[in-house]
Amino acid sequence: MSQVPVGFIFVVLAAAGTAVWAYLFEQKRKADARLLATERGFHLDTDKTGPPDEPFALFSTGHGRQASYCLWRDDSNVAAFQYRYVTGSGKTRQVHDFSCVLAPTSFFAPHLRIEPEGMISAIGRLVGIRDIEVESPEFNRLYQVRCDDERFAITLLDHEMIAWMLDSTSGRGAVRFEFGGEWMLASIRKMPFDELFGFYDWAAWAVDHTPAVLPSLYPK
Amino acid sequence: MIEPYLALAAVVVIAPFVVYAVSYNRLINDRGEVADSWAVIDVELQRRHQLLPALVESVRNAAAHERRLIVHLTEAQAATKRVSSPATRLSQEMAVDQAIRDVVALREGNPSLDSHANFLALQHELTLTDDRVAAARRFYNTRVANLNRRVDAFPSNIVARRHGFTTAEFYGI
Repeated sequence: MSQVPVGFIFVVLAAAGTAVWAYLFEQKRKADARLLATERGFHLDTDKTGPPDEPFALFSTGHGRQASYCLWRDDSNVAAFQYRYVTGSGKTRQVHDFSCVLAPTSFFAPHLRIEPEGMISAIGRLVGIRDIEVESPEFNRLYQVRCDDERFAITLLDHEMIAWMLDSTSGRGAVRFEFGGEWMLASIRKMPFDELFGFYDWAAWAVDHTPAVLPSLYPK
Repeated sequence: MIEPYLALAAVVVIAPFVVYAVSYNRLINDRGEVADSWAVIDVELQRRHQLLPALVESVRNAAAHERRLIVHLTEAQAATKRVSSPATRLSQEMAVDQAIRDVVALREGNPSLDSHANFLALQHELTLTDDRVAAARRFYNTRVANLNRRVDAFPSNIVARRHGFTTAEFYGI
């Protein structure tokens, strides 16, 4: 009988040890997350699932799309979760991680996206190509707004919403908003799990403070 | 095969016509959007005006000793029908706003109005209508800004001057 090389056994044991350690570490992380969620009055589902069914652009980009660490409260339909998709393959493979909040709205929205102004749109602005513009030059400089119904965008972005977005996103980085149907999605580059609670409250506040006139103009 | 200098000459000759046509069509489109969005404001203002007779009726008893408030409201409403430009319309509508506020303020001296379901419903409806007017106004102003920018910017300003396109008035600024 041939002898198994000692080096091979060592490699197998090391791999198995690493796998067990990773598994236990992940279990501990999930247990800690559950404890933290319970302490703050949330439910938490740490399982990985496909993206939500709502037809947002973020949920149809790339492949390998999955949501995890979904947080919610009993008294609300708002949910926060970590979201990931992959683009490319092999050497060009890139993983894109986001933290998201999905919240129901009191109106039926046409598809709208509000994103931080990028380099291409900034150049476009210089040569006179403009996206939807609101009454605040500062907001127009910082954000790019695209919508199937321009009137909806202008109605949504009233003085209060603009002021809130200009004030509160400064410390949070580049938040993207999408509205579509009866839902609003706020997404941001992935943040640590313990910061997801603050993002949840922040986005829930936003959807509660959308202009009161919207349900009358865009009823469900 | 087309000689390169001929192609270049063709581009030089044709390009200005294309730019001219595109500018003209965009100006037409922008002017149409200003008119359409003004019509939306008008609809919302009409909606508010239609609520006023019911408002007057609901406070008639409470305002028996404050007849001048109702007369003022009726006169302000009538004055809006004689104007058409945004600037003039704005000043007239502001007078209506003030008159409505004065009538609604009657509830302070007449607590019975608070239990008047019709009055409360009207007050809610007026607030909602004011929000709708404000939303329509913001949209109108963005359309005006769009048109005005095109009337002033090169090269569309040449087309605008030649075809009599002028800047539009903002509403409420």
